[in-house]
Order: sequence, then C-alpha cells, then structure tokens
Amino acid sequence: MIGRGPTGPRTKESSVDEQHGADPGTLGLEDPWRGIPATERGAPKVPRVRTAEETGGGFGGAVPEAAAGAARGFDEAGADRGDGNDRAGGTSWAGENGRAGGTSWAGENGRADPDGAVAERHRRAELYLEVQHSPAFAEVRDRYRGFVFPVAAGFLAWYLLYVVAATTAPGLMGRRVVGQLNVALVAGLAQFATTFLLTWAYARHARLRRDQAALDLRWTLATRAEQERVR
Amino acid sequence: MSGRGIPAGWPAGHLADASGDHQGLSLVLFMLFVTVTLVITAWAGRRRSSSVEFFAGGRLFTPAENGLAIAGDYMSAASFLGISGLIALFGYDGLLYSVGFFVAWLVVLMLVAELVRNCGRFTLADVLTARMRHRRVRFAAGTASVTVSVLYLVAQMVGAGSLVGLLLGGSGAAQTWTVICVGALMVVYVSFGGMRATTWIQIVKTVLLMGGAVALTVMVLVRFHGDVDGLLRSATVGSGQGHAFLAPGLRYGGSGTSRLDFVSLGLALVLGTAGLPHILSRFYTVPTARSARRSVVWAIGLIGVFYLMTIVLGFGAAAVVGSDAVRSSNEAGNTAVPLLAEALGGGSGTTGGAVLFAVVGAVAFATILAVVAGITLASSASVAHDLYATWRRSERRGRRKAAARAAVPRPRPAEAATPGRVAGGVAESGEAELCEPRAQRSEEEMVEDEVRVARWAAVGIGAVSIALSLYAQDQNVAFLVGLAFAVAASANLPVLLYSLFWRRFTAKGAVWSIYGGLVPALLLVVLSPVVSGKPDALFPGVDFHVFPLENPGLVSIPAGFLAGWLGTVLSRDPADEGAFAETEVRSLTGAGAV
Repeated sequence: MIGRGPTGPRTKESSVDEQHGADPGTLGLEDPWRGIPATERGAPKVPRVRTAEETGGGFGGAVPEAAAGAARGFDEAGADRGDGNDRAGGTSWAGENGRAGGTSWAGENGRADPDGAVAERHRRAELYLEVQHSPAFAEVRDRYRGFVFPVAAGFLAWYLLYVVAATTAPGLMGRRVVGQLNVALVAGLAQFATTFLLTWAYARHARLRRDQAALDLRWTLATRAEQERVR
Repeated sequence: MSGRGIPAGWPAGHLADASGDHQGLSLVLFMLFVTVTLVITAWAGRRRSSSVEFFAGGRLFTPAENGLAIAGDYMSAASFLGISGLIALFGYDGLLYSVGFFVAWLVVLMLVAELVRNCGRFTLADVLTARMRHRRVRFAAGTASVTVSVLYLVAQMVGAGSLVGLLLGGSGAAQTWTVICVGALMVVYVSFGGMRATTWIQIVKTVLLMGGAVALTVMVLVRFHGDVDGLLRSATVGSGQGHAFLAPGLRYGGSGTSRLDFVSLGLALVLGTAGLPHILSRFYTVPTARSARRSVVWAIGLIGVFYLMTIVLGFGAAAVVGSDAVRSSNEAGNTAVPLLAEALGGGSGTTGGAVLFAVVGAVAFATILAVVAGITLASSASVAHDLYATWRRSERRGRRKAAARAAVPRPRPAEAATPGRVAGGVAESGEAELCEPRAQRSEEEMVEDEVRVARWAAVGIGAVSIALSLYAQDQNVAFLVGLAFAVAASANLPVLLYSLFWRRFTAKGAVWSIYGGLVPALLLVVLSPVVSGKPDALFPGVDFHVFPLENPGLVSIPAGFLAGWLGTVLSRDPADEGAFAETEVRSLTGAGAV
C-alpha cells in the first residue's frame, strides 16, 4: 500500500483528505445515481457472493472490511502486492504471483495467516471471478468488445491501406477527382472524417449502451461489500 | 511531435538580419508566458503535497480541462512548425504525418483510456501490477517509460535550442543557454508545481497555440477568399512541382527501402501514442473513466482541428511564400509558418509582419516549454513510483527476510496489543507480520518519500536531458521523436493490451513483452542509418549500420507482441484467473478505482 489503507477509519480519513474533501473514485462524481439509495436503482444482476461464514472466514473484523475495500480503493494494493506476496510465503514466480499460480488458494498452503490477508485476497478474487462470470458483466464486456474490436480492426486496416497505397500506388493516389483534389487528398481528409465519426460513434455507444450497466455493476459490488461489512 | 522527416538542426542566423525588430517583441511575449507559468507554479505549489496531488493533480480536473491539457501534451512545436514545413516542401507526403498522429487517438480512445483510468493510479506500471503483482513487471515498465520519456525530452529540448537560432538569430552560445534555461524552467514547474501546475501550463499553452493557429489559418483562407481550390492551385504553382505536389512520392517515392521506412514510421505513429507515458498519466487527473473518455473526445476534437489547420498552413506557405523561399530559409522547412506569418502580416520589414512573426515565435517557445514539463513529470513519476518504490521494497524485503531467518519461531504480536493496527487493516498486515509497529509508519514515510524522490528525479532527469541535448545539439535529432514513438509502441503497448485483454497472459509474458520490444527497438536504432554510415548520422565517421530502416517500428513492434506471447506460453505457471477477473471487471466497470 502506498500510503493509505483501503480500510479502516484512520486511513479512510486520510484518503478523503488527500483529495480535498472528496473521494471521487468512491463517490462516483459523475454518477447520476449518487445519493439515491441502492434499492431504488436497478436490481443488482450479480448473484450475491457467499458471506464470510459461508466461505469459511471468521477472521474477525478485518475480513469484511477488506471486502469493502475490494470495491473501493483497492488499486493501491497493486503497488503493494509485492508485500502481500510475503504473506503467501512464496518466493518462486508462482509464489510471488501471490496466488500460488491459479485458483488453488493460499489458504491451502498451510501457513498460519492471522491477519486474514491471504483469505482476504482469496475472497476478493472469488468475488471478482463471480462477477466476471455473471451474465450482467458478460453483457457489458460483450457490448464493449463487440463494438471496439471490429471497429479498431477496421480503422487500423483503413489507415494501413492508406499508408501502403500512398507508397505502392502513387499513380492511383495522384488521380484527380475534382478541381485540384486528387484521390490521395480525398483519402487523407477521409481519414480525418472517419476519425471524428468513430470518436462520436464510440462515445455515443459507450454512453448509451455501456455506462449504465457498468455503473450498476460497480454499485452492486460496492453495495454488496458494504452489506458484508455491516454484517 | 515531429517524425523522422523533420531533419535536424534549425540552422541559426539566416533570419538574423530580418529578425532584429521581432526579437524584442518575441522576448517580451515569451517572458510574459514564463511569468504566467511561474505564477501558476507558485499557486499550485502552495497546496499540501500528497502523492495524489503531485502525480495526479488531485484527480479533480474536468474533462474539458484535461482534454485541453492532453492536446497540449501532444501538440509540440514540431507539429506546429515541422509538419507545416514538411507540407510546404513536400506537399502531400507531409500530410501523411498529420493523418498518422491523428488516427492514433482512436487507439487511445477505444482500447486504452478508460481501462487504464479504471485500473491504475499514477503510471503505466500500476495497470500492469494490478494484475501481475510482481516487482520485475513494475521495474520493467518503469524502465521502458523512463526510456521513452528521455528520448522524447531530448528531441524537444534540442528543438528548443534550434528554435532560438531560427527565430532570434542567436549564436551557438545562445542555443546552449536556451537549452539550459528550458531545462531549468521545466524542472521548476515539475518539482514545485507537480501535476496541477503542469496541467494548467498545458491548458494555457493549448489556448495560445490554438489561437495562433486559428488566426493564421483564417488569414490564409481570407487571403484566398475562402477558395480552397484556389489555395491548392497556388500551392502547386508556388511549389514549382505542379500537380505532383499534391500526389504522393515527392519525399518517400524513392527506393523500396524508403517506402518500407515510411510504413514503419506510420505504424509507430499510430500505435505509439497509446504507449506514451505522459499521455497515459493524464488520464489519472480526472475522477472517473467516463471523464477520461470525455477528455479524450475533447482532445481528439482539438487535435483534429489543429492538424487540419497545419495542412492549410503548409499549403498556404507553399502558395504565399513559395517552397523555394522556405527551403532557402531552412532546409528542413521549419521556418515555413513564421515566414507565412510574416508574409500575411504585410511582408518583411513591416510592423504587421514583425508582430506576427514574434507571436509565432513566442507560441512555439511556450509549446516546447509546456511539452517538456509534461514529459518530465511523467518520467519522474515513473522513477519515483515504479523504479524507486521497487528498489525500496526489495531492500526492505531483504531486511525482513534476514530478520525472519534470524528469529524463525517468532510469536505473533497479539492484535489487542496493537489496537491502532487493526484499523490499518489488511494492507499493512504484511508489514506488521514482520516489521512490527514501525511498519505502518514506514509505509507512510514511503509515500512522502515518493513525492520527494519524484521532485529530485525531475531535477536529475532535467540534468540528464540538458546534458544529452547539449551533446546532440547539432545532430539530427528529429529521429528521436519517431524513435520515442517506436519504443513506446514496442515496449508499452503490447504489454498493456495483453494484460487488459488476454486471459492467459502471465508475469513472465509481461516482462518478456516489455524487454522484447524495448531492446530490439533500441538495438535496431543503434544499427540503423541514423546512427552511422550516412553523412547526417550521429556518428558520420564510422559505418556499422546493418539495419536499413531509420525507424525500427516495423520489426520491433511485432517483436514486442511476439515476445509477450512467447513468454506466456513458456511460463511454467498458468495465468492467475482471479487476477485477470479482477482486472477485467475493474477495467470495464470502474469498481475499486481511485
């Protein structure tokens, strides 16, 4: 953790303070649902994750806190996981990956884990795996990939065609179309036009087809983590 | 943002006699800009310095502000002067640059911006380590980022030195002092102002640059009464090339190698932007992925309009000034826009001409200053947040391991004995496990440290860049920009895309991908004709060039992708499903984003 912990009153306070009284990542500044109780928004489409008891937790207060962290400022952990790895007790590549190389979890590596750090990571990964496999998330991902991958392939091909054509078929590119304009200039201006157009199309697609669903998922994650924390 | 096509040095002195009257005005305008930026720096520097403040400017910029700043980071003096100049000299072949630099933004918009904003904190390495959790990955990513930044920085600073000679008719000593002053100013901006000052400086600069470009473009169009066809006709006449001026081939129509080289450059341009560290770090200055997307939309609007204007200015310079006049003023065409401004203002010797010339010169200075500040900040963030943090952690880990070996069956300190720590929670628990109560404090110190180190890293990077720039002052340096793009596309982009989209990608694959792109890119440049074997090479006396292309992108970009794939399939351990799930869910939903 660089600096502030994702959990705990002290660190939370400092996190808010750092951002001048606001924690946009948590609050979602552009969040149209801000301030509306979660129950009034679309129903969470993700199945509820098992509770601490069900997953064999019982690590005291730290664990649900950590689950809340999973839906909040956890990215710091990215910077910090080098330390976390020590907890898993591994020094090999697999061990330093922190998860003993896959879905078999560190709880099984037999080492005492009084802070519940390994179990917490385990739990967080489980939460994310579950969300990843949920239909709601699959829809968001498919919408994103369904738009972006073909479009990216398309504009890259169109750009490369333009570059290659300029160097391999200068005769064709030099043919006049109207007035002084030739094929090459028209193609160049068309590149500008398609870039503007695709920018608009992407922004529109994301706004209408993806933002809402992604936000719902984000809320679901945060809400559920909160529920566990309260419990 | 020049490319390989904007050759070297902007020879001094040739405008000296004509520039006597605009020197003073240029200097006044430039001093005004420096004053404003220093005030901004002082204002931003008064804020308490946390890492979020220093590296991300508090994360509360609006999309419009950030869009202006992104555009400011991207539009360098080389774009303004260099691309217009290339168009003025080579017509259509110069226009290819405008297109490549612009289309690249679609890659940023669709594949990178939002996902990076959701997964990272300050740097590219954050995104990778969110999934890979390995020091080696962070270190490799930090190294690649710093390399790209320094290459880019040197090119810009040498450009600044040359610009002085070009616009003010300064001597060699004046160029040296300009490089030193630009370096010192950028260090001041970054060390004292951090991201907040840098962002506002970019915004001011973008407004100035767009203002200048719009004014000149309107003047060109007014001069031709809005008749674009007439403008193009005059340009073909002014170029002395006839219609060939508007067709491909004037510059890159030569040998097969030069055509291949151009494809290589085109590839590097379109893929490199998405791997530039100073562009990526801009997405962290806004609160959400949605605002990151809107920032890019703003930036695309500004950049697109700007590059369209460079086309008008380039053809305008060919039409109004004439290609031969431009070429006789500067071989590389870099004076095209200032000469065009002078001609539009009434011609050499008139007040209007002098004023416009001075304004263009001051805008170009402002542009360079803002761009170098942005790059310095990104590279100092990489040094502090990636390289230094890696080193610190591995050092502490070494100490802890030693301590653990010394006292193997150490009893755990009871939770009750350290109540403060319970709240500290999971993140610090690993520390506490081995380092006891001091752990938490030392973790805090580390963050303080990171900002402090970043400030000093800016000084160090400034010093290194000044030294390199002075050394490279009279060399052909424009290839550095194309090279920076090629290195960014080879080392940074493959690993970023793999780790965001490929389920099976492993830490080993990540490390291989970074080095597999970085090393070939650098090696091929060393072995290319820009370093040896040609009269305008870095070492003209010797010849060890075995790689025919000037830009390594065509080989090194596929090499980066290939190495990442190879490292992954050769990994003994499979990819971590949970980590990928986390990255994928977070990148698309924003859960857990700061």
